[in-house]
Amino acid sequence: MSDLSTREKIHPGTAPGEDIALEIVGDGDFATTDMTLSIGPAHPATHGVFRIVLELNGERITAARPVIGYMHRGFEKLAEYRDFRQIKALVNRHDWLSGFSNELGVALVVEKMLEMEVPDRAQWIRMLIAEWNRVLNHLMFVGSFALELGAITPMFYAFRERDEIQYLLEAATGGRLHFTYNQVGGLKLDLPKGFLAESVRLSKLTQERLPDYFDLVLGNEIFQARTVGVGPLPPEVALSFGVTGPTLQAAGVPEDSRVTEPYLKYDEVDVPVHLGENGDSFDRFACLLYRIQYSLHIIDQIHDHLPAGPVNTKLPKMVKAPEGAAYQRIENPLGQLGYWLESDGGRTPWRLKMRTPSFSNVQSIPYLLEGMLVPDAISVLGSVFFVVGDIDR
Amino acid sequence: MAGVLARRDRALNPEETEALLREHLGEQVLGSVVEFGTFTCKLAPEGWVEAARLARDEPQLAYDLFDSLFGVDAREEGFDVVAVLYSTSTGNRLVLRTRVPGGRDAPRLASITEIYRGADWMERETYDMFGVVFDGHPGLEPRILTVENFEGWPLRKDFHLASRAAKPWPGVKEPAELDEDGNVIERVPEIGDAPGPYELDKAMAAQAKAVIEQERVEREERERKAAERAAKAAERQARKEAKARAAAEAAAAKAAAAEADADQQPASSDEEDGA
Amino acid sequence: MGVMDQVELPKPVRYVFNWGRKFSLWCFNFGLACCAIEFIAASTSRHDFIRLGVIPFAHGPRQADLLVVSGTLTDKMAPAVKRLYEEMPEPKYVISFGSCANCGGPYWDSYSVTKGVDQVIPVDVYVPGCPPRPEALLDGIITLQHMIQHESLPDRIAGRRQDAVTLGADAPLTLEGR
Repeated sequence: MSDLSTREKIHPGTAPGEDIALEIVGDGDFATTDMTLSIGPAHPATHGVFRIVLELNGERITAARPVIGYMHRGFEKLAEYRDFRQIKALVNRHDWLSGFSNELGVALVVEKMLEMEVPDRAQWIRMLIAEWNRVLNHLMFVGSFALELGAITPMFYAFRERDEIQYLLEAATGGRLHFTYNQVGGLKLDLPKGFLAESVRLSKLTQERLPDYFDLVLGNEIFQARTVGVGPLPPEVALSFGVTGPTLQAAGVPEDSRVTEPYLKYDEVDVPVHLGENGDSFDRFACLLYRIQYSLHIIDQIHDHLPAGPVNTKLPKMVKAPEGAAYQRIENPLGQLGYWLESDGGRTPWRLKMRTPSFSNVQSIPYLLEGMLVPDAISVLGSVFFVVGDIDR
Repeated sequence: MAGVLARRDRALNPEETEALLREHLGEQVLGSVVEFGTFTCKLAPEGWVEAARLARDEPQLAYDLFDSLFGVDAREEGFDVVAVLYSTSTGNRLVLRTRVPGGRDAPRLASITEIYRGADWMERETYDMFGVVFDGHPGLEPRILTVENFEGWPLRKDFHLASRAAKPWPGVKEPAELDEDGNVIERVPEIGDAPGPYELDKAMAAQAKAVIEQERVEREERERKAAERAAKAAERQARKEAKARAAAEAAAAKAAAAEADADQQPASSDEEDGA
Repeated sequence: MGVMDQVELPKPVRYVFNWGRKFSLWCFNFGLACCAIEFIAASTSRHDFIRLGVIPFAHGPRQADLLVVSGTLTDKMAPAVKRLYEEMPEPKYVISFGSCANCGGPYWDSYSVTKGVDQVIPVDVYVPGCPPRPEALLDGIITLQHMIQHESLPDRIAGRRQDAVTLGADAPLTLEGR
C-alpha cells in the first residue's frame, strides 16, 4: 500500500491534477476519513433514550459527545408545585430501578429539617427494603451488561431473581417498581405477616444462585477479553467528575455513604465494600456483583436486628419544612444521591435540587471513550452504570 | 476503609475552615453558617473561582469529590449559585454559595470548569434552568436538557407552568386543601401506635431459618453418607484389585516356574510331543 | 401492500389472513422510561409474551409490525418517535404502554413532557398503569389481537390516511405545531 499515493487509495480513478474535497487522515498504513457516528437516542446499546455522537477515525474514536435531555421531565420544577407527600410519589420515578432509595432520600432530608425522631423499627425496615432495592437494581445491570456484550442467558437468570424479589416487595409496599412506601416520619404501613420468613428464604436462595453469575459472567473468557483493561478510570479523574458508586469503587476509592457518612442504622451493621484495582470495565462489573453479595449480607444482619415497635410517627397538621437549607446524601444503588432542600417555610419546597449519580457518572464517558475502538465503547457504556431518567430528571 | 476513617480525626472543623479561607481570600468571605449539619460559606462573586481552587488544592481542605453545582432563585436580587464539595479523605462537606452579579436580567459568573471537570455539565444545566451565563465555560449551548428551541428559563420563579393555568389540579385534594369550614384537613396516621406483627414474624423467620438449617444438616448428612459409601466402595474396589493383583502375580509366578521347568526339560517335552 | 389495501378479501380468506397476522407480531419496543423495565419483565420467562406470538426481536422499526411505546415521551424525543413510526411498514399497530405514554401521567403539568403519544402518532391500544404490570401488557396484546382478527385491511388503510391528515404527517413536527 505504501507505494500508492493517498489520493489513489481513496479515489483510484482520479486524474492527478484533480482536486478532492475530502480531508484525508491516515492511521498507520491505512488511509481513512473522519466520520461522525450518532448512536441513539433509541439504540439498544445505550439502554434508554441516551444519545452519543462519536467522531471516528476508522474504528478509533477521536471524540465522544453525549447528548442528553431526551428524558428531561422537569422534576425540579414540578417539585416546587407539590407538597412533600406528593413529591414522594414523583421522586421515585427518576431512577426507575431504585424507586425506594429515591423516596428515602426525600423523607430523610425533610426529617432532618424537622428534626424528627423516626422509630427504630421504621429505620430498620427502610434499610431492609433499600437493600432489596439495591439487589433489584444491580441484577438488572448484570443482565443488561451481559446482553450488550452478546450473552442473552444472564438476562433471563437475572429476571428470575428479580421477579421473586418484586413479588416480595409488592407484598409489603404494593408496588413493583415505584413503592411509595416511605412517608415523612416513617413508613406507610408495617410489614405484612410472613414477610420476614419469605425474605429470609429469598436471601438464602439468591445467595445460592449468586455463584452462577460469578462463574457465568465474571469467569467467562469472552467477557474478560472484552472488559479487562477497557476504559480505565483513574481515581483523581473520577473524583473530579464527581463519579460515585460502583464506578468509583472500581477505581479503588473507598467511598460509600453507608460507611463514611452512615444514615439510618448502617453504623450498627457490617457493610463490606469491594474495591477494584484498575477501574476498568471488568472492575466496575465486579464491584456491582460484589455489591449484590454484600447487600444480601446486610439483609441477613437486618433479619437478626429488626426490633418491634411503631413504624410511623404522628405528623403535624401540615408538613412544612422550616426556613433554611439542608443537604442529605444517601448511597443509591448507582452512586451518591444528594438532595438539597431549600425551604421558605411554606408547604412546598422553595428549591429541591437532586444531585443524581448517573448525571455525574455519564460525564466521564467522553474521557473514557477517547482513543478507544468502537466495540469497546459498548463495553464502557454498559459498565458506567446509568439510568437515563436519573441523568435527565 | 478503616484507614480512611482514621484520618478523619485531623479534619478541620467549620470555624477552622472559615479561618483558613479568610486567610487567603480576606474580604471575599462574607460569612458562614452551619445549617442542619451542613457548613455553608458565603462568598463574594469575585472570590468564587479562587475559593474553589483553594478548596481543592489546600492540603488541609482537600475537597476532591465534586458533588454538585446548581442555581437557586433569590427573588428580586437575582440568583444564587451553590457548589457542594466533599472530601473523601477528611469526610467533610463544604458548600460554597454566592450571589450572581447582574441581577435577574444578565446574571454572569466565572466558570470553575478549569478546577473541577464535573462542573462542565452542572454549569450547562444551571444555564439551561436559570439562564446564568458562566464566563470561561467551553460551551453552554446547545441547551443540555430542554429542547433546542425552548423559550424561557424553567426554574426561575417567574416561569409558570402553562398546564397548571389551563387545568385545575386533577387529584382529589389540592396540597393543604381546606374542608367546608375552612380548616386544614388533618391526616392522622392510622397505624402509628400499632406494635406491628413482630412476634409472629420473628417466629416465622426463625422457622424459615430452621428449615434452611435443617436442609443444610440433611444435605451434609447425605453428603457424608455418600462419601462413606464412596469410601467403602473404593475400599472394596481396592481389596478386589489387590486380590486380583495377588492372583495375577501368583499366576505369573506359576507361569514363570512352569517356563523354568520347561527350559530345564526341553528334550523330554519334545519326546512327549513326538509320542 | 399493493392490492391488499384496496380490495376487500372474501370473508373466509380474510379470516385466515388475519389469523396469521395476529399471531406473528414482530414487536419493536420503544423503551423510554420505567415502563420499559416492565416490558422486559413481560418478555422474560415468567410472563413470556412470546407464547402469544409477539416476538420482541425486531431488528429495527423497518422489520416490525407492532410498536410498543413504553414510558414518558418528551418534546425533545417526539420527533424521533414520529420518525420511527414512519419507518415502519403498513399495516402497523401501536400500543401505548403506561400513563405517561397515554396522557402525560404524573407529569401532566410539566413544561417538557408531551401529553400523550397519541398527539404524535395514532395509537391502537392504551394500557393504563404507572407502570402497568406485565399482565396488563398481556391483556393489551390480546385486545390488539382481537382487533386484528376482526378488522378489514382496506378500512384500516383508509383510516390511517385520515389519521395522517389529523396529525399533520406532512407538516414538519415543531413545538408550535402541536
